[in-house]
Amino acid sequence: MKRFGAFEVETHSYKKNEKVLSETELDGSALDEESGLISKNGSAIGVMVDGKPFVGFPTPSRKNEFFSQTMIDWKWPEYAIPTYIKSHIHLDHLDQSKGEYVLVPTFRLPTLIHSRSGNAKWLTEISNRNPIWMHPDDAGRIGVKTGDLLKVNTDIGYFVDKVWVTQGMKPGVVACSHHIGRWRRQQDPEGNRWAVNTVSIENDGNGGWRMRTVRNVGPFESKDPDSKRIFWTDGGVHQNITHAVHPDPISGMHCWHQRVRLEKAGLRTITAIFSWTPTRPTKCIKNG
Amino acid sequence: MNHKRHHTLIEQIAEKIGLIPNLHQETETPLDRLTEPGHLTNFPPPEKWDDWVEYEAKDWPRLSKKHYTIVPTTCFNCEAACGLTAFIDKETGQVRKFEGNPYHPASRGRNCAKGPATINQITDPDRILYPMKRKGERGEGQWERVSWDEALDDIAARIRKALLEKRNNEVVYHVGRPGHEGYMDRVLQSWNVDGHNSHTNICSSGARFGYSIWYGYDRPSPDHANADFIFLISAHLESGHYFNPHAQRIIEAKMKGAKLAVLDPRLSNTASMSDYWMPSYPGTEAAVLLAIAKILLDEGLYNRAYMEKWVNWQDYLKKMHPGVDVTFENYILKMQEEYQEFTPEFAEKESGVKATMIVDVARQIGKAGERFSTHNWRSASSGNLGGWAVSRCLHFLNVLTGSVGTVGGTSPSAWNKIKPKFFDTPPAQTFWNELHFPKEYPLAFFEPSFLLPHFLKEGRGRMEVYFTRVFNPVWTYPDGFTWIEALSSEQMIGMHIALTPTWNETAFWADYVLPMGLASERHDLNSYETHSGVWIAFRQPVLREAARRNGKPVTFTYEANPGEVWEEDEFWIELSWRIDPDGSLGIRKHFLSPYRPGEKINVDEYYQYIFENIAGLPEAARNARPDGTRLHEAVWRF
Repeated sequence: MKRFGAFEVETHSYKKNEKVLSETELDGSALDEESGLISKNGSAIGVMVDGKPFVGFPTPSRKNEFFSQTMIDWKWPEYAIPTYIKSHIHLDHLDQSKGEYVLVPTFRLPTLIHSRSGNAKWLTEISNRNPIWMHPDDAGRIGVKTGDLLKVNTDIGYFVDKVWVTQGMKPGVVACSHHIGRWRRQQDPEGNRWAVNTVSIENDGNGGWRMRTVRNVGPFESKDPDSKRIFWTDGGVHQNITHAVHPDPISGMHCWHQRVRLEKAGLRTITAIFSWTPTRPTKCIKNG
Repeated sequence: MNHKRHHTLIEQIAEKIGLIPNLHQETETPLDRLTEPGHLTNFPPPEKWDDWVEYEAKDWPRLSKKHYTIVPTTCFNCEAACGLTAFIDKETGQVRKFEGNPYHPASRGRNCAKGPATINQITDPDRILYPMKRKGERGEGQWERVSWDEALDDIAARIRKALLEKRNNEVVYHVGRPGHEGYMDRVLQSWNVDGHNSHTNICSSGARFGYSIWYGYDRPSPDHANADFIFLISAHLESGHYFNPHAQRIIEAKMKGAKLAVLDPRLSNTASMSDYWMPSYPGTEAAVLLAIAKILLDEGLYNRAYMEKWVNWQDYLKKMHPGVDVTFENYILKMQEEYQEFTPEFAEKESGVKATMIVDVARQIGKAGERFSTHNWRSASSGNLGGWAVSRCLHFLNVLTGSVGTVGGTSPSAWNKIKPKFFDTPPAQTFWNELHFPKEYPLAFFEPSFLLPHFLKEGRGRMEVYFTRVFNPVWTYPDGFTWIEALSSEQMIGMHIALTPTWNETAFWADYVLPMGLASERHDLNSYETHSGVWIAFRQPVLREAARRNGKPVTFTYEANPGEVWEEDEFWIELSWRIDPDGSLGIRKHFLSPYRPGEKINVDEYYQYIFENIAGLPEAARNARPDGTRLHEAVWRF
């Protein structure tokens, strides 16, 4: 393993549910004639199919469970069989006339890995901004074009990001990639400078928070001569920090999509940009 | 072959006046070609890995030779753990570059951009090289260097005290990207803490639940390479779990004529390569899938033989339709009734995907039959309330077509993974931590960890010692400011230890920041369901292995790593011994060598035991000639 680093244990692995239980495995087991279930010491170990004792799947019936007694037992009988569940961002729950959209905030780029690749200069050189993808019809409705600033209002706050107008997005849906918008405060140690904006964070002590970028990504001195050659400045926008938690009552999954209200960035933000201060229009506010 | 270069007049003049190096200095024998002119070789042959010679690109046009030791390891820049080979310069002892490992059964020598970029990460001028301890208030931004001994003793004493006072639930290890998952489960069990928290509920719990409720396995393993029709609710030609191993196999199938359908509101790179881009409105994927199911049922395109045997349809009829004869025909009839509203037109109204395209795709799926591979991991299942219904409805299509576990179909993950056997397995812990599994979410698949700071703020508990590893919730999780609030409070979190190779937004609110090795600086074990087959790969600290080959073996990985960078495996062994210095807590006995009674286990022994217990591996290794060439023949079969 030290020499080649890998070993192939099986070349193919198909139909393992059709593994026949051995005599030893069957020893002391009981067969339920009606269901075909083979049990041993109180738990199902296989199932009789076509007269053969197969290991099956690790479910109560040892088969694919189209019907789930588990869902009934846990008081979700409406989900006993495969169903369609309308999402929290279903169009029924959105008022498009008020500028409400669904934000898909999860898509990954081929070149980055979560917040772990800010230390890779080649990757950061390739991917260093995360604009909002928007269909031309929506951009027209809101009155923005590529590069304009958009205020994205979530359940608990907002962030401001640039727009990228593209036909590659379904109308009514906007998206913003994951990975980008890394930060440090001025007092924090330097790290991942290929990808990190310097920000100021204010806390009003009452659950309200505000983050502003005070310095963009830029060239820096280091033992690596490439660090002086950084030509990108964007650094992107941290969106997740403005998302509320959305637990799914069954799987416990955080439901990432956000119902957002989109509007052109307001006067204060515009002023901030055109005042040519180093302040970037990245703001995140969370209220209580 | 004649390798003599003829120098141009300009080169000769430039050489004479010193503008370029002396081209005639090269007096050594030129390197042999590996192949005839006109042919290329992708990788150095394994018998040359111990001393691989190639020209130094930066010395061009001078032909100077560089000698390398080539050591394999695995990438850590996503979960796929593709193979890497480190080219270690024999002169400087440093890693010069990373390329693919042709002997890795999943990646087969191919890598995405993130693999070779590992070299950036190990040479990053900003990386953390020494243990750091906070000065002043937590989060204030002031740090001082401390010794590993000081950090280990301080942390161990806290944990020991908590365990002695039965505050076992206050010791927590929270991991973002796990590697060798079994390793930490074993450590935490030995401490008798219910201390494992994961990132899974911001990642894949939705998809996992949908699969699990069907067949008890929580992930799909599509056999894309042999499929006739591939259906993705993901962007697996460019990103996502195992995307590089998957992408090469998807393209392989497409080259053989397979069709690809992609359900995604965004024209991803994957959608752009598809035959059917189905830009569905987010959250309506299950409606599209059920419309496809209805067509398969109505048009008789389902696999009766498979379903009759391997679906619990009798239970369904008995429980949901008592009084109806328990016949397969009635099962089909009842399903047609259940799904009658899911017409292609209804699906179009919900999703925006054209009804005609849904019908076309459904018929293609029916035609592909058992050679129908599907995938959904995060995306729709992670984005939506009820997202778990998406993977559930997707697997429904595999069941209807009988493509579960077939050639070109979709297998359960566990069929294509190996579970290592450990030298020692501590008993299960006797504590249950409701900060991890709260009662309100009885079916939660993995810990709803994004609620953790909210639970702490509600006063549901506290943590005395909180390890974060490859984990940056302040940035990655929703509502990072609430994480900052919890991490700032010593009341809620007594001590926060960030195990990380580099600074991140969460480490700013730590008490200790302990530098851990990057991909090529630590051990790990990988076995993932990238395709039909089972493989195991070894992540190893490449400079440690190079030192061994060089006749100067080291005992601990940190001896070969830069600065004072440790690896987790050795950290947990050392910490466990310090928590239980006299063995009275019953912890230390789980960290004893299986080969040297009574001695502390080392990492080589830990993996040696696992490898000795992998079917076929010891035989393959024994059959290998001393130079190892036959081992690769044994392990390298497609």
